[in-house]
Amino acid sequence: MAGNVLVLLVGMALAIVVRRSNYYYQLVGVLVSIGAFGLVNIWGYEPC
Amino acid sequence: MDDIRSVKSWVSSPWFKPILGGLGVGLLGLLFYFISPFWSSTGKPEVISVGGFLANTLSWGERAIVKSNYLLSGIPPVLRFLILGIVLGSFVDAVLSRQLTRKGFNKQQILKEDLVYDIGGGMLIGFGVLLANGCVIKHLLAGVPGLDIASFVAVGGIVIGMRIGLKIVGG
Repeated sequence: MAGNVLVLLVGMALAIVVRRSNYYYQLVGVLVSIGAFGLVNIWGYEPC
Repeated sequence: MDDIRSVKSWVSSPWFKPILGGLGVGLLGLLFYFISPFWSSTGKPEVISVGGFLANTLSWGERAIVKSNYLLSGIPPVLRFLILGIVLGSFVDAVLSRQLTRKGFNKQQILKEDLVYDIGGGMLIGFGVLLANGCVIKHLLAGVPGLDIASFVAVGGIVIGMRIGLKIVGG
């Protein structure tokens, strides 16, 4: 139950970020996204 | 005073929102990747993806529609709550920012040539999601930063496809 609520909150936060930020200068946003998720490589990424 | 001015000009620049949005989306994608194994049915991490939901739902079509009449059965439970959160978050934010309006189709007109593009483009996207094993969000938000070689190839294909599309359809 707590997990579902946490996932629900992540979804809500994602929607709010996309709405508020409305997100060639756009390429910077893509690169920042890639860099932020790229932190996953510290622990290792498992393709799903 | 100059500091405030420089901050204001930075915030109003076209670079600010993509950077803020990119950082938010990337970090939330990372958070979802790490919390999803605890509640996903497979015990493995899931990534934020949209095309995958639809593909899973359709591939489980027999069970979904014929047997259990439950349209969401193809979607992993952890992703159902993510979708619900996205819809709920959009609604709450629209209410809080006083942008909630009722929209309908009455003032819209679908042009005949647009309809052909919409149907054809939609079919190509659906086919491409299955062919490339994921949509642009999965490949670009998770696959490329996760250094998955298949995602690099898929994103290359997306870029080439868009260039060809621009040549044929025009932009």
